[in-house]
Amino acid sequence: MNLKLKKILCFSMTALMMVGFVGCSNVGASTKTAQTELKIAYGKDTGAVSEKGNGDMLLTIFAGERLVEVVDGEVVPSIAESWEVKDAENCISFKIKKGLKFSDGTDLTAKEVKLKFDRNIALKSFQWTELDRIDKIEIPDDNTINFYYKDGMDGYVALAGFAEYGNTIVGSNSFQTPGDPTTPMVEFIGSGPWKVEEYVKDQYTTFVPNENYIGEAVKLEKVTVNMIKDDEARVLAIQAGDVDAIVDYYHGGSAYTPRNLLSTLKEEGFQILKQEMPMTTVLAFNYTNNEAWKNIKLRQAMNYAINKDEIAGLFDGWISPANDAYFSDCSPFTTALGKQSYKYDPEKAKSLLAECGLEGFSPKMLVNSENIDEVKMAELLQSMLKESGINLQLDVMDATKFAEAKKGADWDVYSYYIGGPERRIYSRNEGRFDKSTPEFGASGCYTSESIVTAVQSAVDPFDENERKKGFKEFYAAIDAEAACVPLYYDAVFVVANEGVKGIEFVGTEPVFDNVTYKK
Amino acid sequence: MGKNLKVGAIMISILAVIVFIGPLIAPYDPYQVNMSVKLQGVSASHIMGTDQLGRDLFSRLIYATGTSVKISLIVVIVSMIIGFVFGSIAAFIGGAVDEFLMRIIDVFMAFPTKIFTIAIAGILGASAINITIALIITSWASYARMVRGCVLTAKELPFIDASIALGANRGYTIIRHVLPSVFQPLSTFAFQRIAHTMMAIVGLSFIGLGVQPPTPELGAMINESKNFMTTAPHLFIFPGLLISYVVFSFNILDDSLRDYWDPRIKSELVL
Repeated sequence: MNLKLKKILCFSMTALMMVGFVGCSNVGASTKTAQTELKIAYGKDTGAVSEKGNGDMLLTIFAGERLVEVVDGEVVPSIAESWEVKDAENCISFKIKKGLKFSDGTDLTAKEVKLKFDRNIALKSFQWTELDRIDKIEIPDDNTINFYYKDGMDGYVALAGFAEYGNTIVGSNSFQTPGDPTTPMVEFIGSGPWKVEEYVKDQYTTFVPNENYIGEAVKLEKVTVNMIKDDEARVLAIQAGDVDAIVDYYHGGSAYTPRNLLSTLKEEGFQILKQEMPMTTVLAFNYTNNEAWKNIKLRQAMNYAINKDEIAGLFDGWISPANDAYFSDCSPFTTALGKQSYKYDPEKAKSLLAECGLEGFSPKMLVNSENIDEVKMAELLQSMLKESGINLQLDVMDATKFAEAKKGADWDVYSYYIGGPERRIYSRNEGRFDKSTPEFGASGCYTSESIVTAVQSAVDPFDENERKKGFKEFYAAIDAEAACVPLYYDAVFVVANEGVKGIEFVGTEPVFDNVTYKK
Repeated sequence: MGKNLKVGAIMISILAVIVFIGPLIAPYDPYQVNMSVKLQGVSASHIMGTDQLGRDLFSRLIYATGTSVKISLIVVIVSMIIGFVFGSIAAFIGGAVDEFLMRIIDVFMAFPTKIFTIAIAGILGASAINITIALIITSWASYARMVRGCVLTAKELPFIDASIALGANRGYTIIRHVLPSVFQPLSTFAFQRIAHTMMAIVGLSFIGLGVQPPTPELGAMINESKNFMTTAPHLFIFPGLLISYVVFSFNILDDSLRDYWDPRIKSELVL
């Protein structure tokens, strides 16, 4: 081969390589393309089709509306434009907005609203709603619905109960037999900004814009919610690019992105959006099964023995230690309520235990092995309590056995939560501390007459100032009684790709109506 | 003694030191939490780093090895005893008893072992005791079948007939003459099963069905480390290496012992 030919060949090869490199490089790829679809990983099935259920929270927020909503501790209009409590608080009457339609184009009137409450009452689906107290429901006209209570409504908590997820209004065609709410819900037809386009149980739900929604139209053309049950698998899905966002189950306590993975995800370039919620993870005492917990000194000792800053450190500071009030500042009327009485003091804990005659106290803690955050926290608590002379025994078990053991009251302590998503803050506090409520059951916190009186004065009054005063009494009462050990203020997290913009939180719920996405 | 046997014996001796003397030389309490040093890498104060709760990884590995090896040994010894009893009874009595016991053994051996173990551990619940029970339930049958075969072979040997002809009773004959001839294949088989059992324990703990926190165990430690693969790789590298070491030690010893006890290979080695 002569020299000239060699030169031509080398030049051609170099040129070819240069073209190849340019093609493979990111040069020119900096312009991101607008996406029309967002894929979300979520730990629960949306339950868009259900024999007896009402659909999951995410579904009801995407595609549904309720008579009222709760925002910043206040009940605000939604489907109902106004309401009136009358007949000596035996009746509440809602005025329905005119011109509302369901996503299938049918009218939303008082008749359709009644269907949902008929369904919940028929199926005894009362949780957090106060519907068990309803005697009858009347529809005087297309835009009015009256609820009559057996023994008078239970104040503001009952009104807030209409904002509960389970009270999301669906059209009559949602039911197997249209208009018969006791038959299975075969399609979720709501009035929210999105509508369900396709649903495959335990796999995915696709939402598209609801063209009959009277509010502002959503920006994306499609949102697919993929049900990925395992917490770590959801993280792997976003890392692999299979989904664009992960949404915590914003009820809290389960199906959330493990807190110890958030820093890693942030380092990898994902957005971490956090919304603190009026929910506090606590260490609860089983005083129904163990008389020892009735001794306030023991409960106080447990409060003194736990260093909440270390718990926050375990989760890389993504959650805040519950050092101040029993709830974070985002809870209604929390600011200026003052601090808790108990600061980390293992010596004080030891002396209180000695006063109780409980040196070497060995409570058993139930731990759900499927919640890795909980397992790590339990190990940390075990080590921490040891310094105060408390030998915490960990009973780690899978979710099924954990649920059985919890129900069977075979435990001394376990971690769970008080408070909850904002729309549930009234009912949840009442349900955790008032034995007379149906929700109290096996999940009730330590309570006493003074706590019950205080919680009622917090959740019942319609007057905001009275509620504020009541909350102050309630927080003071649980603090005085050392009813539980508040560990950390919980939060809802959304992990999203860098190009996802416009995720907002309304209360504690992430809203995707204004989301745009470029990648 | 072959070279491999020497290597295996040395490796197992080191392992024995880790398991039985290790807790005495562990620099830290394996349960001692120290959040101020969490997820630290290898350093002079923590030669294998620390975990998410600031616990010393080296100390936890020492205890974890003990946990896994002790459970493996218990499983193997108990399974071997049960297998020996049932296998011997089946072989000696024979007839309907043999048929009955063999069909039971067939039933146990018909299930895929791993799935069967997972199912039992799942039903019983995750704990060290339950995993031990689950592994014994799924292991004893293979020992029984092997012992039965060995005993049936030994029964036909002339010196057994001679022993009986000289008036020795059945129990004496079993203990004095049959047992020794079963011991060699049984112990080789048991060594082979230790590594296998160890892997099963590690696997079950990795998927959350085995030893539960805060007890250190190799599989559980690797499970805990998976969220930190990029940020703290030492959390899975050291337990992983240790598992490889333990399994390799038992496998090499098993191979060497089999060669050592095999008369044909032994004679070749001598030649």
